[in-house]
Amino acid sequence: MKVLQSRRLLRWLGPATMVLVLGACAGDAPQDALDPAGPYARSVHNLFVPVFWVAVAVFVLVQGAIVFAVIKFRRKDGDDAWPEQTHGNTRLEVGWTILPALVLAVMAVFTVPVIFELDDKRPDESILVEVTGQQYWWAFSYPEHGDIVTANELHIPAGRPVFLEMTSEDVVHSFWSPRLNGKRDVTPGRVHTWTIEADEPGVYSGQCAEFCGASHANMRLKVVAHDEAGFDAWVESQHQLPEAPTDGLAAEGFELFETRGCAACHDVRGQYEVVSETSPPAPDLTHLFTRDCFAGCIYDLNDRNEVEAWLRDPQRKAGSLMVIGELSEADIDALYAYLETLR
Amino acid sequence: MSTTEQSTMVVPPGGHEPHAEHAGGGHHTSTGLSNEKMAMWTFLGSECLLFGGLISTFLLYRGKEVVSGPEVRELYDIPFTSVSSFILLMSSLTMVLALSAIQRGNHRQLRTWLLTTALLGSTFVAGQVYEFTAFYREGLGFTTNIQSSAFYVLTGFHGAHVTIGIVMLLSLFVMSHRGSLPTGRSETVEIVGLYWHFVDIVWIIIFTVIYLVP
Amino acid sequence: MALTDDRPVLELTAGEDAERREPLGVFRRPTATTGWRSWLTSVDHKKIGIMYGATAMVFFAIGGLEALLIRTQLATPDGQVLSEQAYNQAFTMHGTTMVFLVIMPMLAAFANYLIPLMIGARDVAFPRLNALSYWIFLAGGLFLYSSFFLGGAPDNGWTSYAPLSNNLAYSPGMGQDFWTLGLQITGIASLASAVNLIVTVINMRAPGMTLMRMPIFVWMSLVAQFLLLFAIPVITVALFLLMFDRLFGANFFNVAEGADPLLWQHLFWIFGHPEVYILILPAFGIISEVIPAFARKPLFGYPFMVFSGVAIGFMGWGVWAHHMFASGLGPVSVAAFSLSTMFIAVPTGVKIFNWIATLWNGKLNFTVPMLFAVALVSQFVIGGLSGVTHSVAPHDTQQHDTYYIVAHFHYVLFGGSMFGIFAGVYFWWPKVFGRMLSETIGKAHFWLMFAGFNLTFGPMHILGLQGQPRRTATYAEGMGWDLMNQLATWGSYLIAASFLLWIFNVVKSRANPPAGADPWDARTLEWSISSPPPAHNFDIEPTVSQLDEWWHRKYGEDDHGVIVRRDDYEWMSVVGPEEGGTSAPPPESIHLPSPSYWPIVLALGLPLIAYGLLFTYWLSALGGLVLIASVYGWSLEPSVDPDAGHGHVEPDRVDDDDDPGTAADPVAAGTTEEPS
Repeated sequence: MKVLQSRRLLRWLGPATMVLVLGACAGDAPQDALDPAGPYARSVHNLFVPVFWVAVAVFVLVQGAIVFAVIKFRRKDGDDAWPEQTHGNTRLEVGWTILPALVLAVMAVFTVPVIFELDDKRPDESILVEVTGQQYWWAFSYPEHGDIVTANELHIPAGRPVFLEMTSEDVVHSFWSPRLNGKRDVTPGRVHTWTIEADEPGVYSGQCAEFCGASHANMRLKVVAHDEAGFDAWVESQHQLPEAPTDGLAAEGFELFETRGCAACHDVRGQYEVVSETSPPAPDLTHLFTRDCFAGCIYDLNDRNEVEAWLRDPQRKAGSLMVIGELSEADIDALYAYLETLR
Repeated sequence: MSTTEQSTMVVPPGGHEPHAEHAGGGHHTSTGLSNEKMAMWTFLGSECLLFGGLISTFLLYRGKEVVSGPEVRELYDIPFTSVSSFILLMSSLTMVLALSAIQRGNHRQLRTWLLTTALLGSTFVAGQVYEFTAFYREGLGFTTNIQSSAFYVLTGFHGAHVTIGIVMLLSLFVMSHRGSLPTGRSETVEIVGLYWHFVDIVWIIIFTVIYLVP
Repeated sequence: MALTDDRPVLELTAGEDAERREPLGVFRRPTATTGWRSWLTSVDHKKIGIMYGATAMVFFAIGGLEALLIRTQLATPDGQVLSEQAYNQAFTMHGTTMVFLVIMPMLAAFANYLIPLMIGARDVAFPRLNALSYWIFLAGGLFLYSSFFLGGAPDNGWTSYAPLSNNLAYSPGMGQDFWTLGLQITGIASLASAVNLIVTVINMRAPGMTLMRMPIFVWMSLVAQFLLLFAIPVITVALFLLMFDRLFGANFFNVAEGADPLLWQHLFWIFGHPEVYILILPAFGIISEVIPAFARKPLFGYPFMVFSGVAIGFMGWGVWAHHMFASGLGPVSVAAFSLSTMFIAVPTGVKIFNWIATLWNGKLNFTVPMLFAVALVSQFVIGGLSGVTHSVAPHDTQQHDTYYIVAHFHYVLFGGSMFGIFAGVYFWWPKVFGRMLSETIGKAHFWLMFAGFNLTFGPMHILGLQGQPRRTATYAEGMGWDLMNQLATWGSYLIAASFLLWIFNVVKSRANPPAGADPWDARTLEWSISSPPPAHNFDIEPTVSQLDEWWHRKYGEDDHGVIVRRDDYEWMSVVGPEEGGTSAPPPESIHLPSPSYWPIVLALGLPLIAYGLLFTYWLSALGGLVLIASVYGWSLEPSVDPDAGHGHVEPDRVDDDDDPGTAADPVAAGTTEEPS
């Protein structure tokens, strides 16, 4: 019975480990911290890998010792003799105090320089983006690229560091796109800086990582890295302001945008400007339809149903601050037609 | 404690368990220190962290600019607070005299000094109330800015501690008056004294750090 | 030892009349020693310990239900079981419950029950204060949970970061207030209990029980009580500031007025990290008693175990900011806290190695407590190693606030503390209730819980590194997290099933035969008395001459150095032959502190005050009156009822004078009641 148990333990450990390892390797995880896609994430990752393997070695040694002891020193049935009563061994104690301390000291030697390396200084050749966290979405603006403001989607050039100056309008958030770097809190009343960089063009998933209220789970983001030409083209496109529609359904929507109060919170540059000392209380919609997602990047902007569902009930995202009242289906059609012109 | 005293000990019928020291039996606790006294020391250790947290909070916000209202330091009336601090310090002296009185068995003096200590403490608290109202009149309410919140909570907490101390002193006074504070229970006075001295020392720190250090 | 008061008769001065007064109070002194009433007024550390344990188990079930809701919600992407708000309440209450209402009181249960027995004392230093601690804890817990019926539970996480928590615009309901006030109430309980137990351990030890002869559980609990003593005031400050912000418009965390939100984080974690060791050290102590008992060897390296525990206690104060590596502290602080965090692993490692060395060359008997204890060692290694990876601050910015952290602290607190608690529960159950728990059901319980635990929290390591943030009510499809989340959810159901087995075991144990005084052939003093122990614990005050005193009384070496059982050792309370004992002299009449109504009445005042702050100040005033009245009632009530009619006075080491103002009215001067 007792031997059986230790076997059962081993039988458990085997498949369990397999499942875990397979699970770790399999699957396409767009937010995988173990799959760095830029130099900052990589230098952090490179620090983790050796520590991880040291931990694995210690794990194997210690668990091995435990499993060995559990099997080897099991008391046989009917064996009532007492084992040798050892009380301790000072040399051993000193040994297993010093040895781990040495291993940790080596770890420390490698860790501390990286802490300073990843410090807040702005790298040369970097572009600057101002990040504002709000319940529950992200505003990004590009003070060195003219008048560019966007929401939830951060467009960056691949191969160049992007220096983020981050603050919050309300509570503590945390900016995190794991494949580009670790996270940094976005705190009201403070400006925190952080640098990310992507090696290659692509879309990198990210998320608010500090609990920020009802819809914390729904405060996601995307980092879109372009090649140099693509980024320039994007900047150029953001400087082209859409023209206000003058006829048709879209013009009706344009009217509704004001009468239903949308314009009180949403900027549409060249058409509606929100007067606010700080950033507008809602996402800038000037180039809405150049984006792929909206409302904290949880809904697909290319799916008309999602947009309509949102206009029907913005509270489908918990804690959403958007108030729009009841709209008729005709109003929704008109608003959608207008929004679609914002490219 | 003299042997004569021990020989005249009285035993309540299952009444209160007296302490090691004045019971004359040093083996009563492992350390020889009575449980009550050790409990008070332990509790005061905890209090250090309580005031430590409040003082740190005040120090953090003292260095920050306030958005509205006056800064706390603009309103300090150092001479006034120095006098009330001195009064509180003197109450430590009278507390020591009270303890010495009961240890000598002089209960009339004990009551005199207990009352004096309580009165000095009350004077200090009254001074604090005056200070608060003066600050309030000059536009520094509890909710005015970060410094005011930190100031009032820190000094108010201390004031509450002094007030509790005064209540304990008055309770001792009443007990003594009723005859339930015999010489053998002088340790009760000593323990209240520990608390009282602690509260005084904390005030010295607060006064120095908050009022005097620029 | 004469029970005396040394007021010399001749020193009576005016006003000091020697008239005997009845204890003041509106209540007749409670007298029940059995039945449910006796529990309400009991000041017996053993009864209080049982109440702590039972209450904590109820909260464990509730916190577990919340965990099941969380896991069910997350079993699939875009889970619809709970709304976001409900989910946030569930994880907030789950964390708060498990930390403050399960593990802390569970460890308090062990400390209360065992410390006096292990150090050979009759009770704790302040029995009524001990009862007060329990009732305040219960009042705080019930107050916190009443939020569910009064507008919604707190939902800002067990860390309740400002300005989410302090600003009424971001957390408008009263849930956050219930959290703030509830934890202040339970904090008072912890503080009172810490003072009480520290004084007990330092002052109430039996003759010969030097510090280095104390059972290791007593040592680890002592360190934990010191941590509580110094950590509780820090969280109290934080909670006070938060309360003033929310209820009275103060500006401590008001960013608009220039406040710094990091103040909350610092205060919270200066408390929060020592809290981690408060939760784990006593569990370490428990298994350090269990492993030697079933390895049939003394604990390897006892002094090193003691010193490493003390070292952890000290170092635990220097690592708090590793919870804030992503908060923007600046590289110098980050580097410093990164180093301190690495090196706190050293004393923890020493403990692990010593446990393994205790197993080594032993004759291991895998009873249920032993299984839980060894599982703790194994699982804590995992939690410890992931902890070391957090200390690598740059990578911690990837791990922070993800499921990797959730995995880590569950390996430490569930795989560590809770497994230690179950080891202790199975180990001491026969001592406390006089009946064994079933080994068969216990083993099923263990293996199911072991499998369920690892299945739940093992995959979370991967989830976290794959980028799943914690405290998120939903996640999108296509993130690669589906399988691991499913596994974790199945694991949580296994844990729930194992809990049902445990309850079954408890219920069934009532029919089991008596366990006997020393069923495990164990080592420490509590096994030298009957099961359950008599109210006064020891008939004879033990005199201690070495570590593991009881074992050394039972065993000696023969001429060849072979260990043999002596036949002349003496039980320290009356133990019948069916318990393996012979006989012992009946105890002299022993004077125990009498039951009292005041602790439960005083404890009632605190939630009244708290409700009043939220609803109407009249309630607060009433609560304040109850509080003041009971403080005075308490002070004027002698700890030992003069009318209880005990015979001889043999008040060894029973002492209750919690309040400096306690008045013990001495009897008429000049009459010396003869104490022998």
